Amino acid sequence: MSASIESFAGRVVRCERLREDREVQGDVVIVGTGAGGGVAAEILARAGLKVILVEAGDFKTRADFHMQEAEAYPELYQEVASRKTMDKAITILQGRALGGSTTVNWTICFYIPEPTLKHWAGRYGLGMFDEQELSPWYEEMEKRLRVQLWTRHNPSNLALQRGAKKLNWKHEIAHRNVHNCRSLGYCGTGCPVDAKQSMLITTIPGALQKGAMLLTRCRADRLKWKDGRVEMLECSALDSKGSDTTGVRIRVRARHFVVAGGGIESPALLMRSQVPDPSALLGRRTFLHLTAGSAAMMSERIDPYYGAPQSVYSNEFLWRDGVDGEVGYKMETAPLHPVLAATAFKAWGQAHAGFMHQIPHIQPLIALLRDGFHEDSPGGRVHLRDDGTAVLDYPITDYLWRGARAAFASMAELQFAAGANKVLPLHSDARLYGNWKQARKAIADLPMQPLHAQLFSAHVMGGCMMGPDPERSVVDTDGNHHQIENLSVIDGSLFPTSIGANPSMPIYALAARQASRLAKRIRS
Amino acid sequence: MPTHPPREHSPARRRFLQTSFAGVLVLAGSSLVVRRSLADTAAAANPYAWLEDQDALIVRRVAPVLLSGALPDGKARGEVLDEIVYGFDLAVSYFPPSVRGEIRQLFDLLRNSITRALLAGMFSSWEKATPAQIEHLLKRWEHSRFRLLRSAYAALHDLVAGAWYGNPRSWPRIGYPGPPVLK
Repeated sequence: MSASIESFAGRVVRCERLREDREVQGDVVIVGTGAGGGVAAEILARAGLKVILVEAGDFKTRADFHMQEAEAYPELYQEVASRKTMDKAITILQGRALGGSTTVNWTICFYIPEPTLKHWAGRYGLGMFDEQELSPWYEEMEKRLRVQLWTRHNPSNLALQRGAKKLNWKHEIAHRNVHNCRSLGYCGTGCPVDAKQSMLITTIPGALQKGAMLLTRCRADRLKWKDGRVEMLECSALDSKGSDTTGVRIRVRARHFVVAGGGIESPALLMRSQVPDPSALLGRRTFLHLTAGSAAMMSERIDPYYGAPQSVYSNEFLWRDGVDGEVGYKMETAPLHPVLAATAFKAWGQAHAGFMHQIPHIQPLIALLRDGFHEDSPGGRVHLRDDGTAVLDYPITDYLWRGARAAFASMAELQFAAGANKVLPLHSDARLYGNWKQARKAIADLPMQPLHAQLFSAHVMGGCMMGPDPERSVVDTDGNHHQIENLSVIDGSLFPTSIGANPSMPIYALAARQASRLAKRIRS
Repeated sequence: MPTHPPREHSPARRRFLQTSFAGVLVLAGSSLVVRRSLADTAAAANPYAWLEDQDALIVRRVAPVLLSGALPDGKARGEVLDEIVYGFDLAVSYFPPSVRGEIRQLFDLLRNSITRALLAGMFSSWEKATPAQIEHLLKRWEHSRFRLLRSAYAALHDLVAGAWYGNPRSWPRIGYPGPPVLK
C-alpha cells in the first residue's frame, strides 16, 4: 500500500501555475503516467533512481471525480473524449489524465491470448514472450493492482451471459483491478471512491514516496539528442484546461529517457524529435481494436450506467477463422451514460429523443476487432500536423469492414437471444429491428462505409513496434531504442499487432518486466 | 432512418468537399478564414470562452431542431438553450488548437451566405431561418455522400447533444436517475 497522492504535494509541480521557465534534473525521465509509465515509475524509483514524471494531464484526485460526464470528458480525456482519426470515421476514447487511461478505463484485465503470443513468436521473432516468461510479471502486477475475479454482474452483463448461453456461445467472467469496489458504474469518469486500482492511487504515489518528482500539465515537445544519446527533453507548460501552452518552457535533463505516452503520443514525440528510423516503422502499424456497437431494447430495466461496466465477455468469434484468417472479435458490454449514448446514436429530432427515452432499458454490446494479424489489416499511421500535434490516419480496409458487418450481426443475434424486443446497430442507415431474421437481412445490406457505421476505439496500440531486428522494429524486446542508447519506450505502442483483448494488463506486465531490466541496466 | 437521394454536385465542388472546410471557403471566395484566425486570439466582449455571438446564435437555432422532442417548453426552454450554448462553448474551449480550428471553419462555413446556400441549401440568414430550413440542413448533411459534410453533421450533433445530455436538467426526461449519492 502507498500513501495517497495528496501526501506528496511537495513533489508535484503543476506547470500551469509556473510563471518562469524551469530546468529539472534526475536519473530517469518518464513521459506519460498511464499503464506503461506509471508502472515503470514505481519500479525505477524503488530501484533508487531519481525519477521525473512528465504528464500533460491535470493533477487530479478522487475528490475531483463527481461521476459527471460533462466534467470528466474535457478534463480527463484526449480531445474531450472525441478524438478522431484523420477521416473522422473512428472516435478514440483515450485518457489524458494523471494515470493516463488507467484513471478512466473500465478495469477489465486479461492476459495476452495464447494465439497472439504464438503469432508474435512466429512472425515477429518475439518467442521470448511465452507463458513462462510472462507469468511472474502478471502475478506481480495482479498483486500490486489487486486484480480479482468479478462475480457481481449488472443486468447488462447478465444479458450478455444469458444470450451467449442460449446460443451455446463461449462466455466467461472477467477479472478487474479493483478493491472494495462499490459497483457504482462510473469507472469512466474517474473512480470517486478510490476502488479502482489505477496508476493514480497505486504506482504514482508509490513512485513519489520513493522520491520521484511529478510535473503535470507539462507537454513533452521534443527530445534533444546528439551522437546517439538523448541529452534533454524540452517541454511546454499547458494552461489549466490543457488546451493551450502558457509560453513557459520546462527542460528536463536525465541519464535515461522513457517514452510512455501510448500508441499515438509516443511515436509522435519520437517523430517530432527526428530520431533515426531505419526500419521506417515509427508511427506505423498503429492498432485500435476497431469497435462496433449495438443497442438492444429490453423489457426489463437494465440501467446500463450502473454496476461494474464489464464483467462478462464472449470469445466465440475471436479466433474462429484462425489467427490470420477473417478478423475475429471479442464481445463485451459497455457502460452507457447519457452523453455517451447521445453521441453514439447519430440521429436527431424525434428519433434521437425516442432513443434517449429508452436509456434505462438499453443493453449495449460492443465487438472489438483484433486488427493487425492479417496483411489486409496493416493498421494506421501517425501524422504530425503543422503545429506538431499528432493525428492518426487509419484507413478501414474491406477486410475490417467485413469484420464489422459480421460483428453487427453477431451482436444482434446475441441480444435477441437474450430477450431483446428490438435491436439497433450503431450505424446511421440502420433502424430498430424487431427480430433476428429481420436484423440479419438488413445488416447484410448496410453500407459499410466511414461515417455510416459508428466506429470506436478505446485501445491504441503499436506505432513503436518492438523486435530483435533493428531493420524490422523501432525498439528491442526490452523497449530500448535500437539507435538511441539512453532511450526506451514502455507502453502499448510496443505491440506488433493488437492484443485481441483489453490491453491494460499486458501493458502493466510488460512494463514491469521492461522497467525491472532497465533499472539493472541503468545502475550497472 | 430513410436515406435521402443525393443531389447533383459538380466535380470541382466534389473535390473541395473531400479536402477541408477551408478549401470550401476558398472556393466560395470567403475572406472569413483570415479574419477569424485573428479574432480567435483577441479577447471578445461576449460571455463565452470561445464562441462568437454569431456562432452562439447558430447553436441556439440548431439545438431546438436537433433536439426536438427532448427540450422543455415554455419559460424553461430559453434557460435550457442558454445552458446548451454554454456547454457547447465549454467543450470547444477544451479542444486542442487544431480541432478548434476545424470547428471555427465549420462556423465560418455556416455564417457565410454563399457557402451556407451552396452546402446547406439555406438562403436566409440565421436570424430569419425557420425550423424547416434547419431540418433541411440536418437531413442533407446527415446523409450526405460527402464525408466532410457527414463529419460536420457529426460534430454539430455531438456538441449539441453532448451539451444537453451532460446537463442534469435533461435526465428526468429520459429516466436517468443520475449518479448515486455517496455516503
